[in-house]
Amino acid sequence: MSENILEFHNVCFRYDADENEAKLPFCVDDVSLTIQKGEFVAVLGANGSGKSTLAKLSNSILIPESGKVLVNGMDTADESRSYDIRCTVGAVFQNPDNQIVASIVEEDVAFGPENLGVPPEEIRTRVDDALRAVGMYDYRFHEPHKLSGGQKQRVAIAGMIAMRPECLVLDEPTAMLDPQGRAEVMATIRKLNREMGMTVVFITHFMEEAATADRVVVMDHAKILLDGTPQDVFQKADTLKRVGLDVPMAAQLASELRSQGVPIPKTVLTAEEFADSIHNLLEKKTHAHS
Amino acid sequence: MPILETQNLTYVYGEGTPFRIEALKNVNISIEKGELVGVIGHTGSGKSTLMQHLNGLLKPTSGKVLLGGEDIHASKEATRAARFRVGLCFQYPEYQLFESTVYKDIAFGPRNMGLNETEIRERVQRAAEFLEIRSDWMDKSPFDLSGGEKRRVAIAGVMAMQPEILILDEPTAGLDPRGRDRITDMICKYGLSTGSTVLVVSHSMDDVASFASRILVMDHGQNVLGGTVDEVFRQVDKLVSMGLDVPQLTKIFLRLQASGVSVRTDIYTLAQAKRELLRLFFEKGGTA
Repeated sequence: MSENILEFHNVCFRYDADENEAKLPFCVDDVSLTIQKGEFVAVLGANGSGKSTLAKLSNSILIPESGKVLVNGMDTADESRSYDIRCTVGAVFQNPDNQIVASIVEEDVAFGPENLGVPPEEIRTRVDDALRAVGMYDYRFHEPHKLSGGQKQRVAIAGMIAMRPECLVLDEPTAMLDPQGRAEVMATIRKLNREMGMTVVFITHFMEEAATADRVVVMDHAKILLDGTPQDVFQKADTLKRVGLDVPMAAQLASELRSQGVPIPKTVLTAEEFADSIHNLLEKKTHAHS
Repeated sequence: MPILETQNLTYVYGEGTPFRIEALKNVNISIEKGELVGVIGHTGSGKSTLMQHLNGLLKPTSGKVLLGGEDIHASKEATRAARFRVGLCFQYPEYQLFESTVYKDIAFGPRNMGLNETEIRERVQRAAEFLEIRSDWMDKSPFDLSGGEKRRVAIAGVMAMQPEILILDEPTAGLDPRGRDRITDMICKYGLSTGSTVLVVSHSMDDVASFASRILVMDHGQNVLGGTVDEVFRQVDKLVSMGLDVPQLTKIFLRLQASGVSVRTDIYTLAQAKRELLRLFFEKGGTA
């Protein structure tokens, strides 16, 4: 039994063109990628680079035109396995309005586990846990359509968490959230990863969020351009900027200071790491002068 | 006189139901002509509800919205005029594109204002320039463009109405870093070169710090803070308690200060940060 939860083997995919029109270009072009159980992987890429298509290929919402996607060894092209595949890989997308089905928050969160045939008592626990995890428990009796965008997104995430999939694929779940909402969602996802061992594939446009992942995959024009630790990937500032991305603010400041002769380590990516390394350098400097 | 003002503006959703929510409570804001205002607040703080009042899309439960000193709900004509004088661009405006070509979509607003074809053409052209919309897109279907391009076409549609006040609700949400920077730059350029008043709702403290001449902070339906970038982001504890934050760079300096380094904390841009850190390392003739 392999420890890979997700395997992409030379996967190609393009959307259908209208009749009599030229074929559309590939959105995912000969992509091979392996995600191991328990990994926390951030996926970066400019708008239109193929990230969302990759997400949809991961739980058989889309089927490759050629190549194979395996979920725990199950081929996503095998329709008889699509139920098991979707129980294994849960997906949350950008726009919560397309994902909310019920007229009361807690019923919406219960929809997934109900469909899985989870016993009622357990559904109760799962729904309450999930709503607390995203900070929406106080809104459990509210109508989703009257919530703000960010609140709706947290309900959508709760609905997915309540299904307790082995792997979560999240497509820009923080795009509409305020700073605290983003921090809460990130903390929630990280907790699910660390404490429950859930595999997380996390698509984001926020470099600061990607900096905290175990691994960063960068897509460009339907292909994988970079794949490595955040420290490796964010050293390639020029490559990232060329494809419409960026490096975290702290890393950018560090690189500008390095060019002025301040020896900040290249591994510095977050505000905390940056401040701490400046603090250390200043202490050394004080010692050297005393 | 302020160009736009609210007086004790209160708005209630679901009056008479168990889900009654007071979305705005006694909001008093006052905006001068030509300001570039950043509006921040946690999700559900009432930012979008407030913005929808400013062009008469929502009618206050109590209180007033004054445009150039006049109540926008004083008469039907005043409300209609407010729709044109205050341009509102919603979150994810690309979902509202509907015409068969980019040109027609941008021209929809000006056409509704009853302008003649020459004027319409001129306005579409001008808006397209601000948003760097290429002339060869004009005859294309807006649905053949990428996400970031569609967003620019949708914003151009509102700009083409040449409103005195342009309101954008999270114009950069969901865009990649380059798209984010480009749209922010375009909006600033528009505000500065036309002298229009611009309000931008944003969840990005970094963006707001980079462009706003003034910041309004909403919390639980109330306007709790307002002032310059420095006046607002100086109030770190208050912001954090409201679910907000300070810019990334400011955090670095706050952490340095907390660890005992004597350093300024009113730092919001890369240039300021670099200057302050180089001072730390190189002043007094020292070397790094």
